[in-house]
Amino acid sequence: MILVMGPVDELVTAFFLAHLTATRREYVFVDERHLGTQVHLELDWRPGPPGAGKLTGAVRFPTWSVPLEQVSGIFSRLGTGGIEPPQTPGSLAQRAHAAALLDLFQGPVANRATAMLSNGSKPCQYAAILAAGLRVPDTLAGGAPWHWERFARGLEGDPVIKSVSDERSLVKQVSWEEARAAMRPGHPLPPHQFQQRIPGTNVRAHVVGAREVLACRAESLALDYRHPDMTGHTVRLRAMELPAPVADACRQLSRALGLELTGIDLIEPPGGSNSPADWVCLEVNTCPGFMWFEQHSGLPIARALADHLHPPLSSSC
Amino acid sequence: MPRLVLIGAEQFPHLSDVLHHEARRADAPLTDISVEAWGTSATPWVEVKDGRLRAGLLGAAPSSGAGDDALGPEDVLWCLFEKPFPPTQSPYLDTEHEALRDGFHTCCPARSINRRGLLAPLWTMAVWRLLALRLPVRQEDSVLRAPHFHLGPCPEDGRRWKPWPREAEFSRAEVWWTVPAPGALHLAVVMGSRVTLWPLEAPDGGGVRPPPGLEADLLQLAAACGADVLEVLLVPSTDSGGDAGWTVLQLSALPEELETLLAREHPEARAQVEHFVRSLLQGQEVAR
Repeated sequence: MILVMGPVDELVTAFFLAHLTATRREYVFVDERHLGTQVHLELDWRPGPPGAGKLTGAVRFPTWSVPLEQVSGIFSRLGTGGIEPPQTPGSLAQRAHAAALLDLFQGPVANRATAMLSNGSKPCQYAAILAAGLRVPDTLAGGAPWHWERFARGLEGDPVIKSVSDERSLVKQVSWEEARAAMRPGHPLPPHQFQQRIPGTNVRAHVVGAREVLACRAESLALDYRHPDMTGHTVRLRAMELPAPVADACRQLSRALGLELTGIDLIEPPGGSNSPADWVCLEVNTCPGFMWFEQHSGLPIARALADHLHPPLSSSC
Repeated sequence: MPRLVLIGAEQFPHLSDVLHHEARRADAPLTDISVEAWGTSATPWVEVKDGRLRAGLLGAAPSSGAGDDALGPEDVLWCLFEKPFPPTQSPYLDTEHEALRDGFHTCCPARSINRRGLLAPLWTMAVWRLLALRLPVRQEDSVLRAPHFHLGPCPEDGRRWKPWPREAEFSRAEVWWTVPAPGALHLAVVMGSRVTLWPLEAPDGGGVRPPPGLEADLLQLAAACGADVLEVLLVPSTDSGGDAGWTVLQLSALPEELETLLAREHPEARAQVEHFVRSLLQGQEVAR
């Protein structure tokens, strides 16, 4: 069975649970708010050669428990939804145990707590993106005004400015003159990220299990299609097939970051291309909100994820 | 000549002395950034240009020699100690500063000793989990193993279980560990390709080269953790030591015990640091 952990009212958690229920999958759900009160995780790890049985334990509910041996895979949305879980020692301990379970569980986990960290700093992903054969836009993060000026003047057109971290920020296009006017003499420069604006079409590729690649084009005139309402533009998502070499690069990238579910933001060059070197990767979302993409493009992301976490009998024989 | 850049070295004054001495001996430019300066007067930057990563430090002029503030692949960076950057008035900017620092550590083209950043499990994962995931390092040939761990209430099975140190302080996790019949406590210091083993219950005893199987495991463990310099607390399964079997009790990427050995003027410790730094500055030792 699949173990799902997250806040019950978080949209993606609720969407995936609804899919599991509708498709009659076997699952057990842990509401994050109940960790440490009604739900306890007990884990035992014995030294020895790697293999099944090394990690044992159970998810304990008040009147029943589920041995980890019965769990085939884990989907976690812990820490999402903006909830404020209890800060009692018991609750804090159980959330730490849940994070440990995500790292130590020997089956598929979407996603392991430590592997999700890379999205906390966009530059941390750039080396992996380049190694996978995809392009990264020319970028400058941090630096002095003379760095920024040299960088901005070396680009065709004005750069975009965006956050370095995974904090949500509206991507904006700014000229060097505007950036300079916003600087406050005597104050340290805020560490925003300047980036070359890339022409082309936004594409979101969801990679499941570093195997299945489900992609869609986001057709919009907005600079940041994730916030079309804030810019007065509309967005239309259409399912598409990535060229095989580009899909392979996405698989390689997910594997390199140790992730079983990724939302990779790409820009397809005008006119298209089969070469990954022509495709730009902006970032890899390590906790992707795939519901919106599935609902608007029809891509079967939840099904692919459920299949990965608990393979149907026909594919495991 | 490679440039040696140290961050937070003042926290380890004896080690810092050896590093400064070796840089002078090699005539290598040295930049020493204090913990207080890191993130305030010395700030990182990261650039991608035509698919090439560049990174450097603003406000960190070398104390000898001159050069661009970009760090190249021939340079050596060792961030020995750092704290969260001083808070600004905006939580958003605080997050941005930390993200930039992590990006710098990850992308910096310099040879980084114990490279930090969000892709470095050495700095992002609880030590006991790292041990559970990385050991055994050579499968059935390994002599090094992890303790038996338990999460939850302390087991009442007659064995001697102890709380995993530091864990309760950080994550509040209830982590317990036990080992069968531990022998005397030892410290292993891995620096690059060399390992020394120190019996901690005889503090005046010198460091020795470990038995071959243990040495191979310790080198593999350091590599598997992404560490160039690693301190390992371990016990033999029996009092005789040797290659019979050892259990790791703790790992540290901070050279705290090495600093103590240098303070006690152990010549083996100094020789190990000198060999490591000389090899790095001569380009023979490859840091990550």
